Amino acid sequence: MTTSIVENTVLQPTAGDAKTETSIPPELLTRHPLQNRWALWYLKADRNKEWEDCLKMVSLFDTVEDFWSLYNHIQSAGGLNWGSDYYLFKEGIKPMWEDVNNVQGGRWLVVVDKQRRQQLLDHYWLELLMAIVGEQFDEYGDYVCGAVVNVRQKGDKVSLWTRDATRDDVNLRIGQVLKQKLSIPDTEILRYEVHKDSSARTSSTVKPRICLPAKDPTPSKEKAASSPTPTTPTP
Amino acid sequence: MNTINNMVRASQFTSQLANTIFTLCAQLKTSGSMLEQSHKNELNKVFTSLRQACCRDNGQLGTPCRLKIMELVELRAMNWRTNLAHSQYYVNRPEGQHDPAPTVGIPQSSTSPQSVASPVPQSPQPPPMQFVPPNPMMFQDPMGGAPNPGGIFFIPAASTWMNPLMPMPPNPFLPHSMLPPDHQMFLRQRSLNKKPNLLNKTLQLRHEMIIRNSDSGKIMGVKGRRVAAVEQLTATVISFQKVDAKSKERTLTITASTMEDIERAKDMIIDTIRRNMSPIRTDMSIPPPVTSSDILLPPTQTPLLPPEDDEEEEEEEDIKLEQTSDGKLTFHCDDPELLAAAQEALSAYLRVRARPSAEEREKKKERRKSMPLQQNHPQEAQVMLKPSKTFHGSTPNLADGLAATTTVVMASTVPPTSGTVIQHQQVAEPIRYNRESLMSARDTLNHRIPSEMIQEISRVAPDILIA
Repeated sequence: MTTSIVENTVLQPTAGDAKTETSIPPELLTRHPLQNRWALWYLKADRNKEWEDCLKMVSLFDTVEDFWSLYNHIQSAGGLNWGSDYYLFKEGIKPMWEDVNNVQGGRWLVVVDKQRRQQLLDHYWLELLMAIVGEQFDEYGDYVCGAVVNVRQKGDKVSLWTRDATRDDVNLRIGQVLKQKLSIPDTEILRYEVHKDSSARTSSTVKPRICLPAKDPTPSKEKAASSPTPTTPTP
Repeated sequence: MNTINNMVRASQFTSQLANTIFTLCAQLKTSGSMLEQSHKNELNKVFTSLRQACCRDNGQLGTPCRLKIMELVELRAMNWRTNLAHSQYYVNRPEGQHDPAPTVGIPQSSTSPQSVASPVPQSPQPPPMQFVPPNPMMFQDPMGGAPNPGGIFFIPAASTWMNPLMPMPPNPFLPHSMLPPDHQMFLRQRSLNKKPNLLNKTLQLRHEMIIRNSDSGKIMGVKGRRVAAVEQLTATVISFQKVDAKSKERTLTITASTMEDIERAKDMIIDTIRRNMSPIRTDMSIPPPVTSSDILLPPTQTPLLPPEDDEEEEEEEDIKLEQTSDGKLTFHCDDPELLAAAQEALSAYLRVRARPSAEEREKKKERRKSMPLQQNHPQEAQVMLKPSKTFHGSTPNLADGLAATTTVVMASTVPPTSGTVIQHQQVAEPIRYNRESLMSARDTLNHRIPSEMIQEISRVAPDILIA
């Protein structure tokens, strides 16, 4: 876990490499590759535009260096205007329900306490970013699609999107890691919501598929998998 | 049961046997599922006998008895769980009716050839679908031409011994569209049943093909005149499956006594669809400029091209294919999408067939890049194009860099000496960084923001950039 291994990036031929033939500064030679290439998206609230038109891909990165370059040079989540979002998704996955990688998926939702947004929001977001780019979700990294932060006046939200809402075992484990990485206390309940339920919702709340810790009186976390909360993702 | 076994063996098709069978059927209806578990072998034996009885009997047993046997055989095939369609069929069957309906689809005929044909005891739960041809998919073209745009996918047949009254499970071999959907005529064919109808004594072949429901009208013609003409000309009976108006597909059943008739009818139907392609579809496929693209083939590889490959492309109406003496293969097509598809298919074919050297592949890739083809898919390319510029700008020749240097050790717990390039483990273990290593990297590593990244951010989202 503590070591990193050099990835053979030659295996990922990139069409543009041949075009940029600038001389390489020596410090750029030592780079720390990430397992995945990530895309940062930014959504700037604009009521006059369609949602999708507000969504912009800001940058792609696949090294630790570029991750920090980007993070250090953009506004923190807490500094964004109301209604804005950041999304960090694996390359090729659009940060929307409709994407083929998300359509069967769901999200772990962390609701940020309004009173404590100053201290929590940026902390949650950065910890989540580090967890996903650092592949901290055990063997389930492939199930992770990306992370979202919604900056909202009524309460900010941070969420982790996963690929397959039906894999309760996977999602539960991912949720446990998330809870631990973000140091979320047991008093706060994490909910896993199925995207299909969210998109088809009629009321403002969606019945979560998994809760962490489990809502019912079963004390152990493991019980959450077999808890009666799972709902069938009917449209 | 033993009585039945013995009597069948002795070919004593008497009314006594019929009565015994009746009794057995009544008993098995209630206790079949239990016996299936406790006395499987005995059940297998008696079912073999029953099937033999159907086989050898010359009418002594009588239709009601045979019906009972069929009901029983089907019931067992359904794992002793009856369904509505099944029981209704047998309830509605007048016991005295003599000649069971000759159509292939109904249970008697669909089950009996199967059971007669199988010498081994029928397995208690036959698979719901059995596929006849060994290869799952093959092309055949309607006009003796290319698989596109009028290509037909032959779907392995689901043989009819599944009760046709039961809902068909979706065919798992449904092919993925290999061409732009608007060029695909959408014809699938299923179930090439060369099953002679034993009860009818005349050879009846049945063939199913699946068409677009929207093509139904074309095939039928005004007041069904066209399909009537086809039926007359080819001596076939063509029936249309009753479907909901909203349904996308519709099954045609062609019944005839010879395979040639079926083929001719099929050809006429396909021809009808082709000739009456919806004008919308045609319009879409005529962009003004005539494009052409080349693939340079090393001359030595040219002979490797099998003739059918050439034919496929040449006989296609929309794509012209030229092969010059220097081994150059040229496509001409006035539809860039079609051209792209054709090229894709050919390159895929060549990749498998010829396995060109890395150098040649590279050359080909270069050529492909310069081809107009790329511009035909702006919507696909766009998404990745912008950011990849950013990326490459920010990490020039990352691969070279890695090859030149060696290693990366993030964690302080690991001594730097162990930091040699380990390239094999990466397959199993993803590259992980824990919080501490990332945070220390934030403080120690050079992460001067590449100017390209700044430029990109300021272009896309200037409001989030921190100077």
